[in-house]
Formats: sequence, C-alpha cells, structure tokens
Amino acid sequence: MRKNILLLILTLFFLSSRGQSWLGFRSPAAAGMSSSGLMEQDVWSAFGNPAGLATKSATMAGAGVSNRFVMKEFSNKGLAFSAKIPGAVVALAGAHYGDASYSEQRYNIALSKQLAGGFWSGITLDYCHLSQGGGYGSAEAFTFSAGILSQLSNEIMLGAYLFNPIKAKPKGPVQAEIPALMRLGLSYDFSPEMKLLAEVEKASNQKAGVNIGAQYRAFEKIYLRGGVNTYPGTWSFGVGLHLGKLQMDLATEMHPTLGICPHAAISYVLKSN
Amino acid sequence: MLLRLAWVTWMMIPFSLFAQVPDTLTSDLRNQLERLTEDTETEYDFSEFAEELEELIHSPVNLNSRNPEELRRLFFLNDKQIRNILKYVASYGDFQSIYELKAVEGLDSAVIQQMLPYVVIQSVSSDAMSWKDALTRGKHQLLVRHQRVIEQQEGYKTPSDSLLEASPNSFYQGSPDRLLFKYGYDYRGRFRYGLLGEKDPGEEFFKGSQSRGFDFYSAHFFYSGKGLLRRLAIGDYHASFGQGLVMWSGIMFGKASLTGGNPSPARGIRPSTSANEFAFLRGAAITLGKGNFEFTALAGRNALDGTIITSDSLSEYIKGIQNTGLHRTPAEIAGKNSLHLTTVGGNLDYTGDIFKAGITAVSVIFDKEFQPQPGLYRQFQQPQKQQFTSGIHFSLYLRDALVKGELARDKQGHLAGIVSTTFQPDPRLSLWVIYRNYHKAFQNFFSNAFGENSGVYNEEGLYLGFKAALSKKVEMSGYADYFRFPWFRYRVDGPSTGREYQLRTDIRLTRSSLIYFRYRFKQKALNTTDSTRPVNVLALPYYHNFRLHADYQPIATLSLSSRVEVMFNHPEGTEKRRQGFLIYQEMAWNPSSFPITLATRYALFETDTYDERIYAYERDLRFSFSIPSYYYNGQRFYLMLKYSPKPWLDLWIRYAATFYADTETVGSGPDTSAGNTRSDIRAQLLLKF
Repeated sequence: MRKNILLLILTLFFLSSRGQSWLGFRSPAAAGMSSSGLMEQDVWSAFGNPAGLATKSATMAGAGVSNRFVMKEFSNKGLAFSAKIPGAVVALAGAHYGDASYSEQRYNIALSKQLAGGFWSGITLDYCHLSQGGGYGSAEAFTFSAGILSQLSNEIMLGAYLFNPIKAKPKGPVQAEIPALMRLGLSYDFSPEMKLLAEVEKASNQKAGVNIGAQYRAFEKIYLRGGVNTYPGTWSFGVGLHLGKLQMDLATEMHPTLGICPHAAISYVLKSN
Repeated sequence: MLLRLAWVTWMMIPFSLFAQVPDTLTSDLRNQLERLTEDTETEYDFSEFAEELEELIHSPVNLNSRNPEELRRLFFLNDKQIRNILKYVASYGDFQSIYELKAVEGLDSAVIQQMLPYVVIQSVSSDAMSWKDALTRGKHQLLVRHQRVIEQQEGYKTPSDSLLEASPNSFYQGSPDRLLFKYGYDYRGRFRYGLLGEKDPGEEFFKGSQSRGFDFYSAHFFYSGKGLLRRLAIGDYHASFGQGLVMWSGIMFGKASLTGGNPSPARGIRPSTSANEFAFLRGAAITLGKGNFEFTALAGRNALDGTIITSDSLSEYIKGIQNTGLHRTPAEIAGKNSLHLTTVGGNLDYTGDIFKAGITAVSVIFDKEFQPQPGLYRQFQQPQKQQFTSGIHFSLYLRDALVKGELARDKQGHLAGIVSTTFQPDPRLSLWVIYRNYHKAFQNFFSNAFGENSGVYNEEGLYLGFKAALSKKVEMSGYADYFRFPWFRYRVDGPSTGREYQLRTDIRLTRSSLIYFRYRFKQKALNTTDSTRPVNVLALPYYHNFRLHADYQPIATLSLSSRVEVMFNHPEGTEKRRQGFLIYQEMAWNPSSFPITLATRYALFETDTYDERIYAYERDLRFSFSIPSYYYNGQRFYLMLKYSPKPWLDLWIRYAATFYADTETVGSGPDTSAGNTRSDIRAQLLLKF
C-alpha cells in the first residue's frame, strides 16, 4: 500500500514535471544527448521526427527499453520497423509505458519522403491508448504528427516537428489529456566525428525547455554522447556501438530530484539504401 | 568599363538569391512592422504601407531617373543610400543591369534584396508623360474585402430592454462584419485617383446612423510632375517634411527603421489611400519647384471624434480626441465628427548637392475648447485650441558622414530639436548617432518624430547604432538608446529615465537560408504596484527578449520559417521574473503549375501575463497586415489560400484561430465571446485592369 502511494506521488510528480506526454519511445542515442530525437535519422525517428526516416532510407528494425528512476513501474518499451518503398520510407512503431496499474501506449504508422536535395518530410498517424488498473478503465484517441528536416548548409540541419496540433481528446471513462507538442532544433556538424545539437521543445501543458547535446565518434565504431536540458533540468551521457548493420546504444539520464533513468536499445539494418 | 563588366559578371553569380516573390516581405521589413506594432502597442492599419509596396510593384522606381524624388519612393532607403545611387549614375552612367547595385556604396545585400521587386532599369527618355497616356494608359484596381470574427461576441447579442437601458454602450449597433472597398487608378505613380469606403465591425451599414452606407469614405487625387508643378494632392493626403517635428502625417518607422534608426527621408505630399481614419489631412496641397527650390502649401479641414461636455454656461468642451475611428455604440456615434480641425501650412526646401535646408510652418485650429484634464502627467500637455509650430531643418554631407537636424518651436515658445549623424567609414560599416530633446510642454498635433514616447514632448535621448558586414555571410547590427523624461508620464509619477539595447546577428548560410539571432533589453521607469504607500514610488522594470529565427527555402516553391522567442520580464525590477514564450513553424507553398499560394502557420505560446506578450508578423491578404500579439497560454493557427485564375484577378481567403487553454471566455467587455477559441475569417477580391 505504502509503495502504491509512493508510486502515485511519483507518478503525479513525474507526469506534472515531464510526463511521458505520449512521446513514444526515445532512443538511447537521443537520450544520451538529452535530445528529444528531433534530429535523429534512424528507425526511432518514427517517434522523434518522422522526416528522419527517409534520410538514410534504410529497412531497419529496433527494440529498446528505458526505465525511469530505476523503477519497473515507470518502464518504457519500444519497437520500431522501417522499410523502404519506392520513393518513400514507411515505418511502424509502438511504445508501451507503465505497468498494469497505469499505462500509456502509442502506436503509429509513419510515411517519410525526401522532397528535394537536403529536404525531408514525414507524417505519422498515431493511436494513443491509456489504461488505468483497478477497474477505472481506459481511453483512446487518434491523432497525427508531422515533421521536416532541412539542410540549411553543409554543416547545419534544421528540424521541426509537430505532434497532436488538434489536441485530440481521448475518449473513454478515464480522464486524460494529450498535449500539443512542438519542437524546433538545429544540429551542427563540426566534423564527420563531432556533432552538436540544440533544440527547443514546448508542450501545450508544460513549460518550454532547451536541450543541448553533443556526439563524438571517438573510435570508428564507438560514439560518446552527452547533453543537458533546462526543463526539467536533467543531464545525460551515453555510448553507442555500431558494428556494421548492428547498432547498440546505452544512455543514462540524471533527473535533478528523482535520480537515474537508464536507456538501452538495439537496432539492425536489414537492408541499407 | 572593363572594371564595370567584371563587377557585373561577378555579381551575376550570387544574385539568383534575390529572385523573390514580391507578394512576400523580406525578413527585414517583417521585423520593422513587428517592431512598429510593439512600439505603438496597437494593431496599426498598415494598409497604407502595403499600398506603397503595391504601388512600387506596379510602377517600379527607375534607377536611372536621376531624380531624388523618384528614388525617395523607395521609402526604406535612407538619404545617404539615395545619394549614393544618384552619385553612381552620375559617375558611371545609366545602370545596365540590376546586378550593378552591389557596386553602389552603402547598399548591402539585405537592402538590395528589399529593393529588387520595386526597381526597374529604363532609359530616362521613357520618363516623359503625356496627359493622354496619363488618362488612358494607367492601371485600375478594385478591391473588396470582408472579414469577421466567427464567435458571437457579447456586444452583438440582442439585449433585453432593461439591459440596453442600463448600459447602452455595451451593445453595438451594427453587425460584426468589416467591409472595405477600394478603387484606385494609377499611371506610373505620376497620376492617381481613388475612392475608399470602410465599415468597421459593430458599425451600421445603410441604416441608423449610417444612412450613406460606409462609416468612412476617403477620396484622393494626386499628380506628380517635373515642371513647375511638382505635386498636387486633392482630397485625403499625407505630408511630411524635415524630420517630423513640425509635420509628419502617416507612418514613421523611427526606431523600427531598417537602417538602424536613421529615419527614412521626408517625402513631401502624397495621397492617403488607407482606411486609417486618423492622422491624415483632408483638403489640398500643392508643391511648386524651380531649380533647387521647392515650395509646398497645404490646407485641410478634418472632422475628428471627441467626447463633448456641456458646461454650466452651456458652452461645449471637448474632453479628449478618439483616434480609433470606431463608431459602434451610441456614445461613439454621438462623438463622431464632434470637432473639426483646420490646418494650414507651408514648407520651403532648398536642395543642393551637399547641402539641403528648409523651413516648415503649420497652424492648427480646433473649433472647440478642450476641457482641462486632471493628472499631473498631463499638466503640460493640455490640448490647446490653437497651435502654431514652425521649424527649420537641414542636411549636410561631409565626406563619409551625413548630418541632419531639425529645430521646431511651438506657439508658446517651447522647443523641440533633433540632430542625427550617419557615418560610413567603410562600405561595410555604418554608424548612427541621434540626439533628440523635446520640451516637456512642446505641443503640436502633427509632430511625429524619432523617440521613445508616442508623442513628441517630454523626452531627451541619445541613440547610438551600428551595422557591420563582418563577412559575406555574417552581418551584425545593434543599438543603444538612453532616454530621460524630465516630467511625469502616464503611470510614472516623477521624472524618469530608461535605456534600451539591441544586438542582432544575421547569418546567411546559403542563397536560400538565413538564420538570425536577436537580443533586446529594455528598462523604463513605472510606478510600483505597491498600494500600501501613500504616494507612488518608481520602480525600474526591465525585460530581456531573445529570438532565434530561420527563413529557408528547400525547394523553389516552398518557403519555410521557424521561430523561437522568449521574454523574461522583471516587472518591478526585483520581483520574481515572468516569462513569455513563442514557438512557430510557418510554410508557404507556391506551386509553379497552379496559380495558387497556400500559407499556413502553427504556433504554441505561453506567457505569464499580458505584459509578456510577443508580437509576430503573419501572412495576410494583400494590403492587409497582421501582426497579432500572442499572450496567455494556447495555440494559434492560420491557413490562407490565394488564387489567381487570371492575371487581372486575385482571390484570397484566410482563416485564423487562437485556442486558449484554461479559459471559458475570450476578450473583455462587449468583445467577450464564450468558449476558449477566437477565430476570424477574411476574404478578398482584387481586380486589376
């Protein structure tokens, strides 16, 4: 019982500071840079910014898990699959957050397309489902998201992403809100090894935050990452191991009051462009 | 000649960047409009400004005209830039190509980009005008616009008799539609006439107090020539001379100016073609010129709105002038045209090669006395029934510098003065210094000059500005403005000071992508809100404003803009800070295969109070500019479609909506509507023949 109360308090605190907010699954590669995934360019772009799916045009599969404050009740699991089709990339992705007492699930189908040299766009159709244990029931809604990536110069890329601008209201016996969310960001490639990124993220029910992160390719197959964000004020670091078609990433985020949040994911390129 | 060819060839390469759709404004102009709205803190009717741009598109300025007057139509250029263009033509002969503009000193790529849609290169002989051509070969334009708020507002509901009796001015007499029609004829900017009618939301139309249909009508006739008769304006017109201390009606960019605070040059008389119901002249004006001299005489009689008060002795007084032009409620209708203003004025200008000087005098007489208004801050600004202001102005070129000044004196002998210097030690660097000193009791109805106050009085200030092209891709500009108010102001019970800084860096990444970062700081005294003290104490509130903006065009047919802006406001100087935040993404698609343009924006914003509001330019129907402020917590969206099925026909439709969080009503007073949404729809038709 005591544990349940603690969980409830933590859940409320966590959701009010930066709840899952239906963000889907954030890859460790993004989390390691305190990034929302806006500038990411792989299978996890289905949640971060679907425009990123078409940049590499790969057929790819990924699975990952992350955990908030090392509590299994706050775990988040993600699966994603992207496939190249003529002229575009499609993806299917799903994320499950929480446990039997409270869970949020988001599944989407994404379509991403390169519209011009250095310009990519993507949209997703999303199904959001919330369920609360103890007989409270569930609620569900359909919504969409859209994003772009635009190469402003050889070094600078701009990303923009919009999720749920219609503020879809979940239907069902449980009260729930899906916020509208917008992200804008820039990445700067100092060299093929060194990348910097800065993003601004604003959800309609939360304060705006700035995420700043960096990635360094320390060895041919090893990436080191670090980052900070201003809201809720976490810092993070991570490491990536890229062995040809197999890619493994780990990250840890440090929340100022709630502690450690580990992330891990693995992805595999079934067919590269 | 070889050198010139080399220039031209070299310039050909980067110049494709300047091929732009004239329907859109450059980033600089958008910034100026945003800034102007922030400064005036009202939703300004920019249609006059839009029309100037439109007129420039239809009859572009001939760069080879060798006529300063013609070049001055490019109102965003300063005197120095105009002079350099004239000097260039004088030394090298006619422009052969617009690519040569880059060789003109003082014109950077941002300025050139702004100029390009509005200039042509023609041989000078084609400047001649015959009356037959003027009457038959001009362009006609007819515009009809409708707009209305979709949600029902309280003021438009049908009230019960008792409610109407209790508060008659809470209900509008007319419908919530805004209607505008405008007809204009223009022969190359030389010969123009036009008529305009406007009904504001809430005003009646062909009924009640408006038996003649529209609430506001305006007509103008304008001729511009090169002989003795230089300009003639009949009907509604604007006049501006010197630096605006004596006479400047119409738009004044002041601090908002692109040129870093160097006010755009005075343009003498020109027609008033907007639906602004205030700050224009109705009558006639004429400019005669001979050699280097120009003489202007102007006269006008304008009806204004005011609140009439009948005193014990049964004489009528005016309590204050309304400048909104709205006549929706019985009180507003009663105040319509309740006083008249008679204006007579003159100006004599001498324009030499390096020296220019002039004198201006304006007499203003109201037909009613004003009732003195309470409040110490108004002690020296009680409106006078009769005003007479005269002034002298000059400008002088000294090597790389341009010095300008004006000194004006009102009827009571109070002085207002301004002197500015533009210094260009290097083609890539411009510096500005502007000093102004306006007496606390200086009073002139038609003053409109550079400054922090909305009126020209009670201010002393020093403005220092710069603009530097650090490299081909990076440009920096900024200013510092220090000002002092010797007497009380509204909500400032004591002499006070203030300061403002701005720094902006523009990075042109490629031909089609630009990023800029802007920081602004402003501090200005204000009474504390502490009500426990017996007298008001001044606080020094300040704010920091940061903006990051990107304009990019990944495909020729697609223009995108992204912006993040944040404001940190410290309202009492010490109290916990309050924040404002705006993020938006905008897109405009102009497919080459269909004659349409589709523009849309989505924005998320959150501000702690109204004081942290953030202004942002929005695309709108042509001739109409939207620079709404974003405040409280919510989302805003707009979608606009322009369809041009024929070269002589353009149609627009635009829907915009703001969705606020955590509120059950939007607006205040009679404008209140139920629900959390405020949306409006606009449609416009433009015929050109």
